[in-house]
Amino acid sequence: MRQIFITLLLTTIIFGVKAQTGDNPAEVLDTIKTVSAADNQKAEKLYNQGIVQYQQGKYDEAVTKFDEAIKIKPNFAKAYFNRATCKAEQEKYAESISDYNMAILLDPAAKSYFSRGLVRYKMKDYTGAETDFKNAAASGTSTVKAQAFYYLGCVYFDGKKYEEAIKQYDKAIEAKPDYAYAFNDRGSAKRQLEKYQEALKDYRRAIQLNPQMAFTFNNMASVKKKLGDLEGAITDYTSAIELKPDYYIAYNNRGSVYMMKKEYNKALADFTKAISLKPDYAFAYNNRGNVKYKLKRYEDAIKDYNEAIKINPSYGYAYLNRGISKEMLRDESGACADWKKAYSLGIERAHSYVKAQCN
Amino acid sequence: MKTKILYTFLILLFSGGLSLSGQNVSFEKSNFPGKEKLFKEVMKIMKSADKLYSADYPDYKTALDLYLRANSFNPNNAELNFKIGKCYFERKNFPKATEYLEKAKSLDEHVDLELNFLLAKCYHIDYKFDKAIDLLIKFRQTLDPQTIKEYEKAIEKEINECKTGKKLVANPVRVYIKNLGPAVNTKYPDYSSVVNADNSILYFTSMRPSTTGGGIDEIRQQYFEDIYFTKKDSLGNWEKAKNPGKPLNSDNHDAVVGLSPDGQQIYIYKGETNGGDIFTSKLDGKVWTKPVSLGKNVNTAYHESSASFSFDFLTIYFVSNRPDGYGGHDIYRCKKDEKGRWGVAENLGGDINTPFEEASIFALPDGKTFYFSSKGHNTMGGYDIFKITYEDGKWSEPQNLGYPVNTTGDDVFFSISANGKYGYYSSRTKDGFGSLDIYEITFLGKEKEVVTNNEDNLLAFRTEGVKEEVIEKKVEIQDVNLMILKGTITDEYTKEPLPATIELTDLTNNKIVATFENNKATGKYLVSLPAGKNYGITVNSENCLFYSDNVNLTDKQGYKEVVKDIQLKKIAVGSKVVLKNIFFDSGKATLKPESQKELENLINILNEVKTLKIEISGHTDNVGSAKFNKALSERRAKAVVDYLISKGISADRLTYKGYGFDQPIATNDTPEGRQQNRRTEFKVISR
Repeated sequence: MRQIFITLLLTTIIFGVKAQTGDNPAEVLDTIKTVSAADNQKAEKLYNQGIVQYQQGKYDEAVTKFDEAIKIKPNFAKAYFNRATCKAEQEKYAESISDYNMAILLDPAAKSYFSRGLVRYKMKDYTGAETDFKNAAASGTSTVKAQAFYYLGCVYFDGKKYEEAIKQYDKAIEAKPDYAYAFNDRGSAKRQLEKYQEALKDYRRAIQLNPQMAFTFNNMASVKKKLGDLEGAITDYTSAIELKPDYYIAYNNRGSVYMMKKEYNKALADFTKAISLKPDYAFAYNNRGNVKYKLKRYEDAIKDYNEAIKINPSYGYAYLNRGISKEMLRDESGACADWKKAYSLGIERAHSYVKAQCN
Repeated sequence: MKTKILYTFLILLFSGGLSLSGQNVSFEKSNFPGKEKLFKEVMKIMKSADKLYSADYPDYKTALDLYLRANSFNPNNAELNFKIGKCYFERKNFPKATEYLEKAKSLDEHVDLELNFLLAKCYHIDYKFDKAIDLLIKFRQTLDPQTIKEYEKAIEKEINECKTGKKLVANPVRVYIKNLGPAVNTKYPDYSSVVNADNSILYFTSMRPSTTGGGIDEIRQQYFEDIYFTKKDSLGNWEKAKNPGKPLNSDNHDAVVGLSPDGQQIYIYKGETNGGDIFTSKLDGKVWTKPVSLGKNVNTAYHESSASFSFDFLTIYFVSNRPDGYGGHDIYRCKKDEKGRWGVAENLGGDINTPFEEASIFALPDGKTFYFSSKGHNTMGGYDIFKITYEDGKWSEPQNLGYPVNTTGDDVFFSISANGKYGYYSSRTKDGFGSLDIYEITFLGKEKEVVTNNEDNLLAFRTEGVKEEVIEKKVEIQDVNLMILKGTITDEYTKEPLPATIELTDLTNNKIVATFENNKATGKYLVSLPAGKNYGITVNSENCLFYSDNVNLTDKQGYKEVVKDIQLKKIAVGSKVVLKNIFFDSGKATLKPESQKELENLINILNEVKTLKIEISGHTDNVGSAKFNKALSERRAKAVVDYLISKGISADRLTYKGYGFDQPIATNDTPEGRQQNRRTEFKVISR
């Protein structure tokens, strides 16, 4: 009797106890989710390791990590994204695109469109790049927007659609008012449209924002050269060189301005420097030949033109110029041969020389 | 007083004399003490020289030789130096002329009226235009109103020529000038060259010793003119010039005047007859026919020289100094009539002809372009070569061919090859063979521009190779601080699965976190214990002693799975339960608040089974003395009992005991083992 009573009591109590649930049912659920999360965080760990490898520049290893992460979690959008980035680094562009495609499918973020756009741009798929950048610009954060507009501008620039390019750079700047690159490139677009004063304004703004951009100084100098402000051009080329002492392009450009000012020795020095920095810079050889021509050192000039042609056998202007020096040495047949070659390479004015003097 | 004045005067005289930069030594016996004999000779020489110098037709050559001899005796005579300078000037040796004239000037700048004028001309010829102009202005200033009239025009012309010279030298034409070389040129005058249309044969005039007859023209003091020719060899060089001999040449002057484009007909000037006339001869195979005069209309008693034919041979242009011209030699034109006779000569007019000398004419086969030499127009000195065109009955403005084609000296006899590429003319230059030489000009035309190439870095991203590639950031690994506790609950003896409830309590606040049930059939249970709490776990089953456990997850330890199978003991005498959730302060017997739950478990079971009598026992690890541990364990057990009593459990159901480290349930060698040994237990004494 007592036992039955006890059992009953116990049962009641137990049932009573059973009825008691925890204070936080949510937490209970949470822990179940947590348990499942804990179980499957292997993919995430591999993913993180992949990032470390990427940051160390070990792209093969990084890709492997991402591969594994994706194997475990086939919907791991971020892993696809990062693997795509690695492939782009490795210049495996087609594979990169395919990974970006997957990332976009799983998570169509502005960042992904942007990154895919970049790779398409590299692959010269301008239409595709355009579409991607437009998408990125439409939905991204202001940072992504700015970048997307900027690259869109560059795509148009490459396609010589300068008005369009400027519009995009405008938007890039609107999204990111201190976008030094955008100012530089917009300046370049305006320069292509021969709006030189406006170009200078943009270049100056770019420099204000980032005074380290040697190439902007170079671009400014070239515009000043076009405007006939030779002193200004020299100053800016010099600044470019100071910022980037191996800037052979700027040396070559500055040398040309010295030539225009008839300061032939300075021009010589600059072209020689350009050559020493980049021994296969055909332009510098050609230009140095021109200086020697002006100094009436015709044989020396021809030697330089020879070098230029050796580096680039299709360098039409070098043939033209060499012909002119040969003429001064009274080597009429040599001059004619060079002018005929120059014409065959597309230099129109050589044709008039041939017509006038060669049989 | 007087002596003072005298001395002062003498001193002034002396100092005045000594202060001169050069001392003009006059030809006075007293200046050459001890050289009386030589002096006498020199005076004689000078007298002879003066005669030649001042004659109507001065013989500057001989006079010069004599003067030089006198000069070696006395080099510091201004007048002598001047005369020598003038002789050299007239002999066209301008460097020497300059030397002596300057010397004369330094000795006595007033030695001759013309000193500065001559010197200025020397500077002019030497391209020292500014110096010449300054001197000419100075010269003009020294002239009195009477003499000025004589020299005015000449001075102005000189100045203009100098100004022209400056301009032309500053903007040289692009030509390549080549001396025809020793095959053609000599130290004697070589000039008046004409080529045939294809530039393969060249005829010219020269006054050299191999002239036919070998004679010298007394007046001009030169060998007689003769015609010479040269051909281009296979390498394109001009062969050694040859003299074609008679009948082209004669003992007198024979000069080339013009050549037909095919080179088969030549026009020559012969000085023998009539003051100089123009003849023509044809090449019959290899022999020239006897030259025939062009007739009265062309040839007059006056001097006819240079001639050129129009491309259709119906007009002849020639130079003549007949008096009805503009002055000096002029250029005329005769047309052939239907009968083949030359018509009346017409002066080409004032557009071409000037009061000064015109010396040569060359007509281009295009019928409208002419080249002529003139000392007028804007010559830069002597004769210059000009280009003029005749279109629609009008002559264009004569165009100076520019420097270095034209020089400050005489540039004459310009002819051009039919293709217009090569011109031939005569000039006297410093680096020639001497006197006039023939040069070949190649007109290079406008300077050909060399093209420089440059590039820029227009686009920033391409220049800097910026990596925009973005990588997705690391994912937060949810550092799962979680323990999974799972296992099977069975009966200790039968090993059969027991249905049970598992209670989770947060010992810090004594709140029940959750209650689970195990699987009745299998006895399996699983509880998840998220980190951050100190858990008390109580497992209850019917008729069994409760099981309690402690899981402290207050420090994150990541993810752990723990399997714990639990055997429940039926409530029977002797059954023992370890009260894992009873905690004491270290070294003391004070119950910690976390013990609450466990104590409640005890109370519950004591209330459930009212007859239950239990013993609470305390146990320690083996750290410390036995005595200490025993005492502590006992005090602790008592503390529990006291608590139970305070909660209404009657004291007679409870006993307490301290066993110290006498009854370990695990090894004391490890911290985990020692922890297990430090425990409180209860034992069922009776039901």
